[in-house]
Amino acid sequence: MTTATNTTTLENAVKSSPSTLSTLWKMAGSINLSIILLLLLTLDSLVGYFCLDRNPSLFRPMGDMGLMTWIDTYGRHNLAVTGWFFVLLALLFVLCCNTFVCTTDRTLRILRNRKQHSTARLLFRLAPHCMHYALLLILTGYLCSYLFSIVIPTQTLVIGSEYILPNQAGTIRFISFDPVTYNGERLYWLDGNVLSPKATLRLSTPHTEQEAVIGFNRPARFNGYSLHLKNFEPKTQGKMHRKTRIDLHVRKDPGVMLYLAGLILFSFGMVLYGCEWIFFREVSKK
Amino acid sequence: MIAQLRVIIQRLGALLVILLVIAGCKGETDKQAVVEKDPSQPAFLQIGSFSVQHVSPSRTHVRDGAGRTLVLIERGTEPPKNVPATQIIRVPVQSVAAYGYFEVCVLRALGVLENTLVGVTTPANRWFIPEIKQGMKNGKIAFLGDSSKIDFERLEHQHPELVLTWDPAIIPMLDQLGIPCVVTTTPEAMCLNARMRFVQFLAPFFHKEQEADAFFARIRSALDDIRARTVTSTSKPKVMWGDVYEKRVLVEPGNAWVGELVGLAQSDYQFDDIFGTSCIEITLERFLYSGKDADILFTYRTIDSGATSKEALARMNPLIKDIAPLHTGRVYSPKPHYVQSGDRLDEILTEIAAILHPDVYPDFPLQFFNELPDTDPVLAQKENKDDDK
Amino acid sequence: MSAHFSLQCITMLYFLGFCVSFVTKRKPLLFWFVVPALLVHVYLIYLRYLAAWPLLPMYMSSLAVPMVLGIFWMFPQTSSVPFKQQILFQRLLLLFCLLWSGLSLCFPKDFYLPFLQSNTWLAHIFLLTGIIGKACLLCCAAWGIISLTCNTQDEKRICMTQSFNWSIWGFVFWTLSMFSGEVWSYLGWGTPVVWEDAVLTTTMAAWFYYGCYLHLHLTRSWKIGYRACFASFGLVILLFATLPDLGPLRSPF
Repeated sequence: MTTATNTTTLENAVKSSPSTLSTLWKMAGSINLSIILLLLLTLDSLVGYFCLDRNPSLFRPMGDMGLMTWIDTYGRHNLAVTGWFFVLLALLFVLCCNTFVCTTDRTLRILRNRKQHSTARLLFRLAPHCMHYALLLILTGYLCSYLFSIVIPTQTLVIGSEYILPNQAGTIRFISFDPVTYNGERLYWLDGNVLSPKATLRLSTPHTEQEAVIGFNRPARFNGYSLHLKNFEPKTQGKMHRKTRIDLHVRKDPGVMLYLAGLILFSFGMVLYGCEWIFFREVSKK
Repeated sequence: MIAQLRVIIQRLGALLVILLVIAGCKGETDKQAVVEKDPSQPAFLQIGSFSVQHVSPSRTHVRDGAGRTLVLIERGTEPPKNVPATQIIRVPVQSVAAYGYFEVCVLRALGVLENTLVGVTTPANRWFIPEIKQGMKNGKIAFLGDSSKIDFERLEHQHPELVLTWDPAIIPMLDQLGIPCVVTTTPEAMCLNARMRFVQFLAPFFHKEQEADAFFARIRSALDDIRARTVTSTSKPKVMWGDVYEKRVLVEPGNAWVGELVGLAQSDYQFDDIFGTSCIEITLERFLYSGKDADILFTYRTIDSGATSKEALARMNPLIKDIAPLHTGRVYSPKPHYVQSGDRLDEILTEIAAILHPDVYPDFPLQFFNELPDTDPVLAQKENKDDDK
Repeated sequence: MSAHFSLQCITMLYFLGFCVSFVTKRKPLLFWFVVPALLVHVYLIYLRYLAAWPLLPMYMSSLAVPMVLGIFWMFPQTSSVPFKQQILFQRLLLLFCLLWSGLSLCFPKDFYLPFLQSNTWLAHIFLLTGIIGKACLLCCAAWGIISLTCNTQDEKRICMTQSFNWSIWGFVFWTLSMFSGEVWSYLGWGTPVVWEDAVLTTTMAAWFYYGCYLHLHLTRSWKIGYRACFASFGLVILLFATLPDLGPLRSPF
């Protein structure tokens, strides 16, 4: 009896599964869901403003310790201030699913009917979906970055000292420090201070050797790692200055290419959409 | 459409509740697991930019001001293999070299100063702490040279197991010597809570958690007392803490412990809206604007650096000569031993409260600050003599 | 002329312009208020840049938004928009100019000194595109509000088309600002997000909100009246997005 009932249930489930799946698929890709999610994200971000404002020390460590460790330490123990971030993660996850389903659905439909449009028109019609996929790429890149990065948060070097990358991937030697100093009256508070730090590094592996100059906003790439200048001394010209040093932030970030590619793809989609909007729609209006 | 929206909202709400319940259950289980290991210690403690995480009874991870993670292990236990040797510290630490006054004061608050301190970067004649004077006299504590020119041979000779420093520039050299170090400065000013709890950050290094908790309880009790007394005060003075050096304006931001204390003591901190590092640099216009109606100015300058009177301050900084505290208000400068009195934080906090509210702290004797007179006593006497003539 | 006095003049001129716009419907007359205000505004922004260049002047957005709105005000309207709505739009732009310049006068946050990491063109693009984006989105909100006052469906449709057009431009500039901020964040700090400034949350909020608005408009999911309300509510979101640029209350006199 029980076996018979189980079989019937299974059969029913199998029979109903295509429609259930398609209902689920439709629901997941629903535009109403997108709208609700975007509104909730707006609201959550606004709540986040009040939690993050004047509280960067709670969120800053996420950049170097990774998302999971951060959740297990700072995140979990300060839920009143970090709760919005967990909600943000959950909402973004649902938004990603929703965007993927919705965009894939529509892209397939456009591609199925591709013969009805010229190539240019097809490209323009795909522009919004290009932006949607780009958004997924950006968010995936961020997630990878926070989950899988290898980070050495602060590596201090003085002139002549070395740092060996993890797994002996290479050696970084700090060769010289040649900052650009500001001298003038216009920026009185910067007079005699460093405006643009420039540190020369020798980057060597057993087979290669090269020199790289790094500064603020000017990282160097070496053997899969990116080297960012985090801090430096001395900041002032003069007799009483402190010992020359640089603090490096060393990262091996598998997400960066993904999110940079996402930014480019989104911009491309935006330009395409803009072109369509300006030329085609304006022309059709006229 | 509205019905559809309602259904979607209901489903989303249910999903969120389920997620939260799962997360909550998981969190609770983890918390229980840690508590079972060591019921007296919280699993994770954040102190401003510092943190302490008790991973197991014999292993603690700490994050210092530079964001470096250091691993504290019990003496005699096997060191972890995937951590560089200079980031492993065997506890309890038995000898320490300290760069700044603040670190020394924390060691004193923990009661480990006499037994552990072996090196400092300030010569003997500039110390006010008797244990250090005595230690330097009998050779136990060495002067390691000025902080910008450390004598590393001397440092190595002292065999410190740990260096507490505000200057990360020594890390490469210490790495070569195999001495671990903790950076005690942070990108943001220490808030009141972090300042009170900093002892709890250093406590696991010396197994002095109870002493740290006692110190924290003492400061908290002082704060409770300040709150209770100042709430009855009728005045609400406007306070600024900073100074002008040539054209550079440095102030304590609102997130610094002094800013928070002023707010807690029923007063208005004029730089409450400024956020950032200790001694943050701001525009001169803002300093002068805040000075227009301020009642009290705390200057960074001591008597030794020229803060002998309001007149002397105005002479040194003609730009600030018109701010209200120099005319109608009061100006306070720290006494030379103030910076070496961090272990008496409760007394410092109470004294600041007494300065802000003399009505609720009548005849309070000042130990850490001087109230600046209008004119220099010597100059005033000379002027009086001239007048007499 | 000091920065504070310049800002006082600008606010006063926008106020007068706004008041006069109720008396006359002739745009050339209002030029006498808006053009001087714009000139002083340009001078003020020149001063702020002069005190920071090549670094980024801090928290300048709320100061520069009314200038961009003023420039938009000067543009002639498309002929498809009825005259009454054109007048309303101009009046609302003047009101926003007055509101934002009033905010930067009463809540200035001009006391921070620029930081060295901002010595890059990305930082300037981040700021400037953000300012233009915010001004465009304010125009979108203005058309949303006007649409609520319309009596006929045709008028509503025209206003909402205008609102949508502005929202597209606003969204594009806002996105460019966010993207340049993200690239700057990677180059300067090595991380995808810099948590130092809470402005990232309000920026994100506005981006999601206007993303939602574009979806609403393109899919016609909501009726035109609801969409007009949605566009109008954008003003509140943009006010939130201005919060990080505001300091403590100071007497404007």
